[in-house]
Amino acid sequence: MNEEHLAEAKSLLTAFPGKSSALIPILHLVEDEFGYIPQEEVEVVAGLMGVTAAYVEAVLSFYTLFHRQPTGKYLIQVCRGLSCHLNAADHLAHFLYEELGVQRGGTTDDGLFTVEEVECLALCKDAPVVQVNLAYRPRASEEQLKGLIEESRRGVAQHA
Amino acid sequence: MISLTIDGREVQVEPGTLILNAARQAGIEIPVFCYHPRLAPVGACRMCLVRVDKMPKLVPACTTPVAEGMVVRTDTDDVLQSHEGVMDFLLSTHPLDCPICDAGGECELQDNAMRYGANQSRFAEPKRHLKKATELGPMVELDQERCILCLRCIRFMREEVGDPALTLHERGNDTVVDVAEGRTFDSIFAGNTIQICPVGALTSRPYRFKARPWDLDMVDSICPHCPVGCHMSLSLRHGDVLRIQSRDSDDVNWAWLCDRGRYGHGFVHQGPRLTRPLVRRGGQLGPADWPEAIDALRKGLAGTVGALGGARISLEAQYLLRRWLREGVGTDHVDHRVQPLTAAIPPGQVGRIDDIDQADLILALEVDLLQEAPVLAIRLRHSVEAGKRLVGISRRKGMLDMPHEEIETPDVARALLELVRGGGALGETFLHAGKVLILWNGRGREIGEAIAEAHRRRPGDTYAMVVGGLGNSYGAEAAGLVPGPSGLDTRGMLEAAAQGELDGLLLVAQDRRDFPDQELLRAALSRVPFLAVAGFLPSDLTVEADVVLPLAAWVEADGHFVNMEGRAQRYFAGASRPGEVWEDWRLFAHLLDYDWDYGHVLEAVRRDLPDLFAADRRTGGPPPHGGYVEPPGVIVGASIFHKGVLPDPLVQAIVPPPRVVLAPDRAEALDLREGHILDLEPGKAEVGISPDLPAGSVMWRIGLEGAGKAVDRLAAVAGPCGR
Amino acid sequence: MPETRLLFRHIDVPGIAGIDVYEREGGYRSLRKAVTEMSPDDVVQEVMTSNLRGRGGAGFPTGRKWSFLPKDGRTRYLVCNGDESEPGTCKDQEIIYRHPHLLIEGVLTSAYAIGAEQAFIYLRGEFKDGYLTLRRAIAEARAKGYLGDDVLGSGRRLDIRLYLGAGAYICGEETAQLESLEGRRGMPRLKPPFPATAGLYGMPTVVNNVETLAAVVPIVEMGGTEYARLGTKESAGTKLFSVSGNVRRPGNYEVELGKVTMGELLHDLAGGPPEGRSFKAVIPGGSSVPFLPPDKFDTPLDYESMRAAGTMLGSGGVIVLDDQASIVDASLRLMEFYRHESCGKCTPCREGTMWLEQALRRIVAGEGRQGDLKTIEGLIAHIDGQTFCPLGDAAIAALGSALRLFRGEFEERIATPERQLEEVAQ
Repeated sequence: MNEEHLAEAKSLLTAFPGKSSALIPILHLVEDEFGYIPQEEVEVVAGLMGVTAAYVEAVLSFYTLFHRQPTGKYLIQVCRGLSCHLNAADHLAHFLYEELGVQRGGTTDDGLFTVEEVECLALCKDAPVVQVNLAYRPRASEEQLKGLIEESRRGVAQHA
Repeated sequence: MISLTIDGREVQVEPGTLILNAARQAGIEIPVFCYHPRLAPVGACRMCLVRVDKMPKLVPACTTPVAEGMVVRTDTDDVLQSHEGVMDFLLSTHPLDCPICDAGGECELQDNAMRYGANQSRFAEPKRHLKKATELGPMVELDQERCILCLRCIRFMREEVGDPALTLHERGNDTVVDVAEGRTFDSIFAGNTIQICPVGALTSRPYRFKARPWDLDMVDSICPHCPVGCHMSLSLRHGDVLRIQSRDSDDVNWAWLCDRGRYGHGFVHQGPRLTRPLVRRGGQLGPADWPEAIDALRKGLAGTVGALGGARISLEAQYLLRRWLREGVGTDHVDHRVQPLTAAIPPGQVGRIDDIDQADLILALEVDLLQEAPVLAIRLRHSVEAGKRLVGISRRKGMLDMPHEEIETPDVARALLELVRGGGALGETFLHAGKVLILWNGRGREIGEAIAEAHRRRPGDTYAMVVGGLGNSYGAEAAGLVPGPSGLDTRGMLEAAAQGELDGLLLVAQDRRDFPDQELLRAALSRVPFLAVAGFLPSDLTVEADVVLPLAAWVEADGHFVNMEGRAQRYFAGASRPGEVWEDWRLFAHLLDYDWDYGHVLEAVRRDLPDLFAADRRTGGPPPHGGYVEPPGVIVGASIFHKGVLPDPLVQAIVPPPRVVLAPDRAEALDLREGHILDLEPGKAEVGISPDLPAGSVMWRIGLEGAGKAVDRLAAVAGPCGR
Repeated sequence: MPETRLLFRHIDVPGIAGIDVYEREGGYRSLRKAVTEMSPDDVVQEVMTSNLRGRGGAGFPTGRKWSFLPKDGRTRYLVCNGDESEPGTCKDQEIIYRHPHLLIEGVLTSAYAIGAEQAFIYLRGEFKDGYLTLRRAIAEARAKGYLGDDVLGSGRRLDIRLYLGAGAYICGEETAQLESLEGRRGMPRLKPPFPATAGLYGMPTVVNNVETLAAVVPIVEMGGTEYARLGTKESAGTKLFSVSGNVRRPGNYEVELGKVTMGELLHDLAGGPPEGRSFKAVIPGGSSVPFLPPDKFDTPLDYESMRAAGTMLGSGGVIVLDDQASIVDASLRLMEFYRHESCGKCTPCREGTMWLEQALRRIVAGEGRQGDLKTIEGLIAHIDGQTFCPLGDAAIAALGSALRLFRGEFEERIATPERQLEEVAQ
């Protein structure tokens, strides 16, 4: 973890009535920083928490927002909840796979995009729903996603 | 008592009893998978669902306590269908590779399938594929496909050991049991997970493919490797011990063993053994028959002689040995305390292992728990978690493997004295606590005296146990294998021998590496005119001996070991004896000219040492004189592995590599870094650095090859940064 | 048929997520009233009188839940369950994202009532922006003295700690949520002990849903008696219904319980089916309840009536399927969800959801076999009522009813060989 995150992680250790509660917030810091939870960080977190690495792995592998493999700069999560399913979410997902040339759960070669299909995102009234880096894109459409992809690519290109 | 009805039968049980156990008391079997009597129930597998009147749903018998007037049915259609459902679910993902599974024949899935399963599985989907035959650690093999996720192994490691080395990974139908990436499962308690696994998911690597359970003979035994005296069961085939399992005991080890005990039978069959007596004739050591060897021993052990060891043999043999030394040889020079120990019996009232559950305050003095008496850690952890107060007083930190109050002091005896005289808040607690238990590693005369003072200050509910020493140190001390009033202790005998003042020496079931000062041993052996060695394995000691007397290992003979409570515990002969080895008691009975069988020996021991066989608590006196004193700046730690017999081919894989650990300042002064290799001729040891050690000190554990050299070399430079 | 807006009275007011607008619209009056004019027991009494029932899905009376806390002086905790993950349900999301101060006020007022100094709001990991919204709002409220060491000069301490989950439906189950909040795998705990006696960190704990706690605000404001006049005797007050799926105006609608029928909700508020379609069925209470067919759309939306109609009010997440939607496909989609979200602790749920998913997938793919439906019904019977927590029953509720109500669709799909399906697709 970078120094800022490490300092935050340390402060989290005493932020709850029980130290054990700090684990998931600390794992969020790691996921935010790396886009996944590298094994070395599992050891770091285990050390901070005073638990075994196996314990950390047990917890993180239970939750879908923690990844064991690197994810792209943009994590695109297509909701496949029943309401979104009824609103053709499958087509959106397949559009993304074709547009980006990846498979389900895969990351583009340039490391920009990861596409996942996820369970209900609790915005059923605005189906179909997509989250990009956990920000909602309600009533998502192919055009909208296409725009988003192009924009992201441009943004990254400009930044570089 | 609570009255209830199960399947029409009236049952009376203690309040709080689970339906499952109430049914068992009534002779009604309810099937289970996740339930284990020594683990907290979880209700996960759903195999034990039963019908309870007025309850809308079936309830798990393993988590539901009885209530007055409850009406339980275990045989209704919906209950039977539920069993069938769980079996169908579990078998749907199970590989059904029973023919090549070690658990076949003692598998709870098989047993329950036969009794509660349907004739045919309805499962018509593809089976999952997971890790098979994976080496989890040196002793444990994992097959994830066979796992039924009963969580027993995980609960054991988490709740009993406090070391979640084994955890669940992923979730739902993808859930598997595994270690952390890149780690191995090398807990000293790992073997228990194999024994409690209801299927063949966790199997024993040493026992793999060795036998079918129906071909095994089971014999009750007691673990010889530390003073806990865990109850165990030998699995034998054609007279060979193929494996050891724990035997449940409320008083001692519950359902657990440490891996030292579980795998400590390798030396019996797997390596070279002493199988016949040897006698030196004209400088050459050669085979002899027993009468010749006995004769040579009698002749050789005359004049000013001594005997060392005897904490690894049966109480019966200890008793006879002591009598022979006194009545036959006429010497007071005897000491079982070859590995560092002052007393195996504490002064005052001796505690019982189950005091751990009840004591309000537990003081642990210099107790290196996992190296002295590992299984006690499980029981102690339960007490601590139940809110009992555990205070460790020791020279170094990190001695107890669980949360506790830690008092680090260079003078443990003094700290204890202050405390028992009511000093400080802890002293107040000590004086007013309901029940106090003192655990002591048995080293240091001053600590022994302070314990005596503790008894004087609190004459009532105060108990102590020595958790240090070997498997039968208590027996050895009770039988009198300690120097008499004018006798020499271990060091005294070795020094006398080294100065040519001893005519003969008998070593009983000792290894060179038991001696903390191997240089002194070498000097002693080079001068002593007559050396007799009784034991199990050939070694560089037997090579130097004038008479070698081969003994039966504990699995090959009947006898008793006396554990730290002073409880004589019987073990039974099971394995066939190799060559011409004798039971240990037979040798010393013979030397006493008794033509006794085991029954006679036992009768005599029971008559002369009745305390050890009584149900009452025992009482100890002041420590015998003498005993090992560490050189300044040196800590000689215990080793659970060297308490037993080594080398052992089976245990070799889990014996940690030799280490010499230094306090950071000491390491700096000697310019040693972590990982440096010390050449101790003939041994080598890796350097470790630990802030847990007191400033200026160095530590290694019993069993280190060339330990004497290390003393010389490192103690010599202790001055500048030491005391 | 109009909405009856209590929780959503001000939700469309621009800037209501900010504390100034919220206060201007009367916000924090209930908290002030509770803390300065009422004893904690008075507040509990009002909630008892209001007949408020838990809005998370189970519908347990809130006041009674609060009354289970032992009076033994131990630290108590309030946990606000913001793990909204029930398919078809998005009402808490709207409160959290658009009306954060209402939730904060409800949490603080309720914490005061039950004697908890520390409250937690557990949000599902995907509500990351909602987390930030709430964090901002809490900072505003703290600056105004609504929480902190001395709330509104009362000398009482009330505080809120936000906690972000990490993706697990099961964490909506209250004991699993406590496990997660304590940094563990979100696997449900054995009950008893119930959270009221041994909950978070082993202390007495109340876990309430977001909407439930938000409802405490109008209850304190208008009084429990007044609130209980809304709705029916057994189902008092208003409730948020999330309408989604094949419907013209999906959205969250707040209506009086028992005063509006399913048909009225679907037609009058949600605008009816899409052009040229008709309704096939709804799953009315989030995906974990049985289907409700159109011939029962005259059922009033309250706990008892829905139960009498063979389903449940649940979370109020109404998923609408029109005549073009496939019940078989929807059943598979739901089973995939439950299989994915099963924690794996107990056998029937862990193995049963997987087995059902495999069987349904085959049927959907045109590889169904004679006897599959019988097997599926057998599996349902082996799960029903036999799992460790309610997830097992939730997983089979819709499927079980689908097999009863729409058996023909399954049979037809099984009878159609794979080849024909491919032709149809082409």
